[in-house]
Amino acid sequence: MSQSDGLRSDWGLGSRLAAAVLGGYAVSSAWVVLCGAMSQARLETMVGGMQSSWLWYVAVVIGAFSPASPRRIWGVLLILILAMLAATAALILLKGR
Amino acid sequence: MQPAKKESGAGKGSFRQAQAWLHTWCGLWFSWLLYAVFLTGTLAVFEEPITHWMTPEHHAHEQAEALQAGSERETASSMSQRLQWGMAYMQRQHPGADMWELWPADAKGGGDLRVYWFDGDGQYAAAQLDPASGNTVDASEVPRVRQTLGGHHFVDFHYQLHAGQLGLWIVGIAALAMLVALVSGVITHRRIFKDFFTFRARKGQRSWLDMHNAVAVLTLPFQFMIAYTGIAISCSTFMPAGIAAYFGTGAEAVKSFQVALNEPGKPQRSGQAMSVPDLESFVLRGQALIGQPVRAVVIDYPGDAAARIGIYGWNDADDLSKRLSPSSGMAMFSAATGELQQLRLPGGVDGGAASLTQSVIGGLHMATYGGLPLKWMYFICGLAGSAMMATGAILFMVKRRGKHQGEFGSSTSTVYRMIEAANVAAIVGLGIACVGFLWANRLLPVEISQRSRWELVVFFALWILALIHALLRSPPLAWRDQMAALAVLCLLLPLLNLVTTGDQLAAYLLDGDWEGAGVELFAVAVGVAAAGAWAWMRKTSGLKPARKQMARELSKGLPVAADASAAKQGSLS
Repeated sequence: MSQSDGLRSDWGLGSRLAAAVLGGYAVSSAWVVLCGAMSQARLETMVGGMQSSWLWYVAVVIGAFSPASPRRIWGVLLILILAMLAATAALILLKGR
Repeated sequence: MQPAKKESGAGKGSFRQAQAWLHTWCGLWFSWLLYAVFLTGTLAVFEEPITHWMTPEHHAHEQAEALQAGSERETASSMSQRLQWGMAYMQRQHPGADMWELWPADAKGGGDLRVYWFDGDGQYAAAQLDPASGNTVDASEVPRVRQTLGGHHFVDFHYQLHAGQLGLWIVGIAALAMLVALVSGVITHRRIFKDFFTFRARKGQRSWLDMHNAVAVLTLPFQFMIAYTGIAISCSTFMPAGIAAYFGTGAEAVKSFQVALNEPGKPQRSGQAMSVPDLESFVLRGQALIGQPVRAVVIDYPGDAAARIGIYGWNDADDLSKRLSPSSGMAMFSAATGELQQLRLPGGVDGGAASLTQSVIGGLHMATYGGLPLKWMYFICGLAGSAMMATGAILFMVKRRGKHQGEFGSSTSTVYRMIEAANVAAIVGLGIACVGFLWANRLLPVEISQRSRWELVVFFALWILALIHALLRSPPLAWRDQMAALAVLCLLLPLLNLVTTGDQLAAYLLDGDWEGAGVELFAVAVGVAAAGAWAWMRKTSGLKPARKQMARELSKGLPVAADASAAKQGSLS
């Protein structure tokens, strides 16, 4: 194993770890914000979102350490977060929530 | 390097192999902390019996009270007298406070009289009044009892590590790691049903793996539930994004979120002065509405015309054991008009389904339902969870004693050595610290100032000493030394109690004091188990040279790795 190989695999591990810890937290947070926009009774759905956000977090950590390339993992995370935020914005703007 | 080696690593190999890697490392780095959280959380199930054992000066008082129950009631002060004393104290001492809270009596109308308020800094403050005269009870007049955290030490440690908000976050992260380890463990391990019935004793590494699987699989639903509810109880702290998005950031925003969630329709101060009306009629109406005796009377904005009076009830133990949501009844009145503003029946919540879920999550985690049998079930499942982490951490090292895997490059041996030491200190050392905490309770002088802090100092000092000892001593000897220390401390606990307080196990049993007896019986049981483990370690390590194992085995930890063929068979996947 050459030096550059080892370096690349270290970067891979760091990237996966960041995707799991930071990406997971970002997806969970976006989910809570989206849940808050899901109904007129904002509090109820928001608390429901907080209670279920761990599902996203655990799923992201499991996904980040699956045999997919870090680039692909980050891509999926980015799409998830953007989709959730776009849905939130749409609900707020279109339905006045 | 061989291509086969490359299969192990982050995101390497098949999905299951990648999950096995995640399970191994996520499990290892969090196992020690999670073991500590689980063991102390398991002891916290029996917080009250431990507190009872740790406050022996209260025993005589409690017995006298139990004898007098009923006969003495008439001479004690009445509810209306207690309310008046509480109000008089508040008006005299804390006229400007934002909130007054009186706890006039226990569920039977007797007991202590306590008052609480928010002081100038918004901090919750408390005082105790004499239920016979209404005067403030001075700390120096209280009969000399040993100041102790009691069983609450285990409660606080298992969710905050005695480090407040920082500790809460650390434990929360560990709980999430536990969920990840559980999910990746289940994926790694597909023969879940078969392993119900698999246990291969005396097979070295195989036996540790079977034990790890058996305790985890048998109690898997409990482990998922307790880790999840543990996170979800504090979800508004851990996941503040929604609050930040819709309520703003900062302490004020969190407060307005809490008010909107728990106290919808809380009024603002009006600015007009109005004295607080007589409380007794509110208490009587509130008690009738919720069907519970009064526990607390809460007055928001006392002295203002917008003041509200909330009557909170005492949960009945039998009633509480039959419902998942542990909330008590509450009736909220306007102080000015006496109009009922809000009513919550016992077990109910002020919001909708999510609020009820939140209440049930709390009840599930703290075993408020189901009574004593359920507490024992939580206790046993909690011990199984601790065993799951301990066997997992031991398995990691057992696997590597026979076969160096070089994960940490040139420093692999050093890191293995540290992990061995951490295993000993975390698994046995924590046991020593816990029973040492009980020893400190009996040995520290009663009159020492900051006594309850000193008990904590002993707990942490013993734990650190255990770690230093494990780092200095070779692993097999460290395991044996600490196991022996644990056995001695546990087995001698009843004797220590007899010498220092004159209380003894036989007397507890004769008096039917199951709380006191339970603590000592459990300590003795742990002592016997530790002594058994010590004897087994001594025996197996004595056998090894006779079996002509390679000399290097001697320098390596638990004797179970002796079987080299077993080490070859097993890998997690």
